[in-house]
Order: sequence, then structure tokens, then C-alpha cells
Amino acid sequence: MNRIQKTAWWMAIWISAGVILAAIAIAILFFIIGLPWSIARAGLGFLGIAGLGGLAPLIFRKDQGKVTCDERDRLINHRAAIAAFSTAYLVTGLACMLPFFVLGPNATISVCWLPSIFMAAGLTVFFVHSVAIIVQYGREVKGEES
Amino acid sequence: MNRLEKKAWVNLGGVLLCIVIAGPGVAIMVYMNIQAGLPGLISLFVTGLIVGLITYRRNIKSWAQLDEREKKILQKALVWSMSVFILFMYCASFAVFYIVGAKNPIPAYILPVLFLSGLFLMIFVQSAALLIQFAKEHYDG
Repeated sequence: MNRIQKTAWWMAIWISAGVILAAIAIAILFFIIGLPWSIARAGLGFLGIAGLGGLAPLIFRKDQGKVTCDERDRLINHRAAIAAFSTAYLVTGLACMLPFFVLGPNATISVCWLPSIFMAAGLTVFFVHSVAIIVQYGREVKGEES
Repeated sequence: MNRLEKKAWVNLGGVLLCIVIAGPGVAIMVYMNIQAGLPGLISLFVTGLIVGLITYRRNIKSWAQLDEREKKILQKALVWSMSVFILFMYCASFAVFYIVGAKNPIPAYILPVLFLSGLFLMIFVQSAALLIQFAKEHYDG
């Protein structure tokens, strides 16, 4: 497993952990304990765990003087970046259009939607990028075996 | 004028046309408070997805026909335009957040207006970056 794969696994694990824990916390607070949504959404704080994914460059350091990636790695990274940004544009577009179409143009929504949408888009970019890298390397290993 | 330069001019014209059509369109929807509902959103999403996939397939085909220099120029333009889009969206959303205040509501039309402005700005920057890079090349030699 090379450095890019390790970084991708690290990011995917921490982002998944953050999202799953936040969903569980909100579900417990809202459905089981029965707290109102304004308090139950405090469970979103668990998303902060996803930030640990950003430590990847410090943990998996580049080997000095060693070639760390070749043309194939660059192509995989390029494709993963395209997939990540395309998904993020889709998520942002949908999230921006949803209140406009469903509630109507003159309805009002909380201003918290704005930073939330772009944080979700950022999280999507990192998650899809990591998953796309893992999937592409997985496919190549399978191809070499068969 | 090569194929990329022509494409940049067409995109630039297209963006201006879209602004001319979409601007009054959104204004009319806001003025009349037209509520298209979930079917409207789904039809818009499906149309966007189909157009996006067709454009993606066409871009893959045309990418293979470009030489190394043109690929480099196009890649630079794409990176600039995506960076400008992300920067614009983040700055605009946080500006609105701080100006309005964290506990106050905003009208729902602000979101699509921001997103569409970002998309138009992205295409504009991409076309402008292509034209500037080619013009610079012509000027240098």
C-alpha cells in the first residue's frame, strides 16, 4: 500500500466515523430521548471528528529523495479529483435549489444553511476523492491478479 | 484562431446569453412566488445530469485531439475557474452569514442566485483564462 492509498484510507475512515457518530447522536437525542430538533442537532458536533483526517500529511510523510508517485498514480489522482469535484458541485447545486423549489422563492430559511452547504460540499470532496482512490487502486490490483 | 479559442468565445457568449435569460427568469419566479415543488427540482436535476453527461463525453473525445501545449493551457484554465468558483462561493456565503447575523433568516432565492452566479463566473473565468493564455502566446512569439 503506497502513501496515497494510506492517506485515502485515513481520510475515508475519519470522515465516515464523524458522519456515522453524528447521525447516531442525532437519532438518539431526537428519537429516543425526545429532545427538540434545535437541541438534538447538537449531535452534528461529532462531525468535528472528520477533521482528524487532515492529519494524514503529518502521519504519512513523504520519503526524502524517493520517487513517491508515477504517471499511473497521477492519473488515478486526477480521475479521483474530477469525481470528487463533480459530486460536490452536484451536492451544492441540489442543496441550493431544494429550498427554492420546495418552499418557494419568497420563503425564508435559516442563514446557517449557507455555511452548512459549503462545509458539506468540502466534506464530500475529501470523502469522494478518498473513496475514488481506494476503488481505483483496488480495481488495478484485481486486474493484475486475473 | 484554433478550436479552443473558438470554444472559449462560444462559452463566453453562452454565459452572457444565460445571464440575459436566467436573470429575468429568476426575478419573475421571485416576484410571482412560483413554487415549482419537488417535481420541478427533479426535472431540473435530470435535465442537468443528462446535459452534464453529454458534455463530459464530448469533452473526453475532444481532449484526445488536443496537443500537449493545448492540454496544459486548458488544464490551467480549469484550475483557475474552479478555484475562483470555490473562493466566490465561500466568500459570498460567509459574507451573507456575517452581514445577516447567525440567527436571522434569509430569502430562499439567495441560494440559487449565489450558485448560478458562481457557475457563470466559473465559465467566464475559464473562457477568459483560455483567451488570455493564447493571446499571451501570440504576443510572445
